[in-house]
Amino acid sequence: MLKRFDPFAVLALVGIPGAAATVFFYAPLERTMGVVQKIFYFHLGLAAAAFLSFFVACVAGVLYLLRRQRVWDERGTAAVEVGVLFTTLVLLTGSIWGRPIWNTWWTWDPRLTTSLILWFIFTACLILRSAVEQEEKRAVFCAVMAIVGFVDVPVVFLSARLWRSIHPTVIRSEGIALEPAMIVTLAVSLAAMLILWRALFRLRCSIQRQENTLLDLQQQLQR
Amino acid sequence: MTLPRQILLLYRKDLRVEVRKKESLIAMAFFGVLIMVILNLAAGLDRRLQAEPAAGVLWVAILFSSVLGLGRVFAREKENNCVAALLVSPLSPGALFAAKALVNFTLMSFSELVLVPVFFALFGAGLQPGLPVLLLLLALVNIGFSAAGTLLSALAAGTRRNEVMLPILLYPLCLPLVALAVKATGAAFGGRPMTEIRDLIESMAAFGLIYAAAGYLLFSHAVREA
Amino acid sequence: MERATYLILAYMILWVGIAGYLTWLSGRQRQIARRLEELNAQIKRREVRS
Repeated sequence: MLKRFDPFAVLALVGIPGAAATVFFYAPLERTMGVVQKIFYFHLGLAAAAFLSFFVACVAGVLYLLRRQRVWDERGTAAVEVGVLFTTLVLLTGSIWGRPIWNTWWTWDPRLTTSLILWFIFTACLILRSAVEQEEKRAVFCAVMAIVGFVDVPVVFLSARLWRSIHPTVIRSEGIALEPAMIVTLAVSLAAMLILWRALFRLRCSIQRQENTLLDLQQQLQR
Repeated sequence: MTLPRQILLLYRKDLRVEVRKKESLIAMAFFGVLIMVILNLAAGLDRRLQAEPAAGVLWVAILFSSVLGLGRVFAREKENNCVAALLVSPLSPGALFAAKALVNFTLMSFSELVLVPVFFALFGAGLQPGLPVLLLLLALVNIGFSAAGTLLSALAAGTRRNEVMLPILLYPLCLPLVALAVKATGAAFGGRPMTEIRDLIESMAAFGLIYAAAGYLLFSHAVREA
Repeated sequence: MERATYLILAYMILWVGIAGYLTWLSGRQRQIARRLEELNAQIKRREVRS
């Protein structure tokens, strides 16, 4: 039986408003950027969750090809879909942040380029999914595409170095260039976003599982 | 049969089909030249481009035309139901991938024999040809593009909308390769020495290696379902 | 307060995006429930017939 409440969903319901409150009431105002800087906390959380999502999709793809168990296809689907959603939000929020700060909606900075290319690859994966009807074939194709897409990441990074960067590097190897209160806020919103990701991921998995079971039942009934 | 022999056998079979029917190569070269003529008209009366936009024109023509050939190589097997036959035969799927990738590589190289001279005729004014560098870059892009393209054309051939799916799947993956190629070629056309673009060339080689390995490993899964 | 507009816009898009996704998911969930109901009805009809 399905559990009524996913603990992660409950946590997300508490965590997201909590993180928002921390961002707006606890975090100090940044001196040069002002209020716009408050976009950054959730922006970074989203970006981390999106990247994690694509990594999960790749791992799920490998495990599906090795074991051919339906669970891995369900997880892969959920990861790709939530990852594309989060990357879309990362690109949009980042672009809105860039407009007042850099005076442009878009610039060919390494990080922006990388997110955009990943967005293209995994959206292609979603389109591929909608183009195949047979379940097993669809699962194999999406697994291959997710692996191939994630394998592209190192080259995307290498090629993205071509463009000069104006993106702020907040987390460097020497440490974090932020005030302590800001670091706390960042950690809270990052945790909240990861919990939200997990909740959405599980929700999407369970829906996919139900749809698959339903299809099985229908086929059994027709026989 | 050893792996190289298997590959050679399949490679010669596909080339023979291509030589008899000539369906891919003519279409590729024709479409590529057409793209360059259109872009030349768009460049205006002056017809003089900076090194980097000119490099962009060359790669747009090459990559958009070669996707025509990539799709055909696999769709041909599919239409005649030969995929099943190839899989039942004692040939390994890895050999099948290598042979198809080599065919695509060859087709791209031959169409470039037409496209590159036409490019220099239309856009060549004020560009340094830098032939050895250009040949190296062409080879690297051909390797990367044909490796990734062969794997994805097996996927695309299994979907309902074959012709639409291949570019949708392939171009996002090849975006970094194209970006590197445009930068490197632009530098070469600008007359800068090879040492300056060494790390670009290394990244392009890495792309080729990654997709050759990924294709070799994943092709068997993709082709069994196609 | 030009900049506050950007902040509000960004957070609006963020929450609208996530809410939209959740709405879409709940739509799918409802569809599953409906199909399950249909399936149940089908099974019942068969049992009555046999």
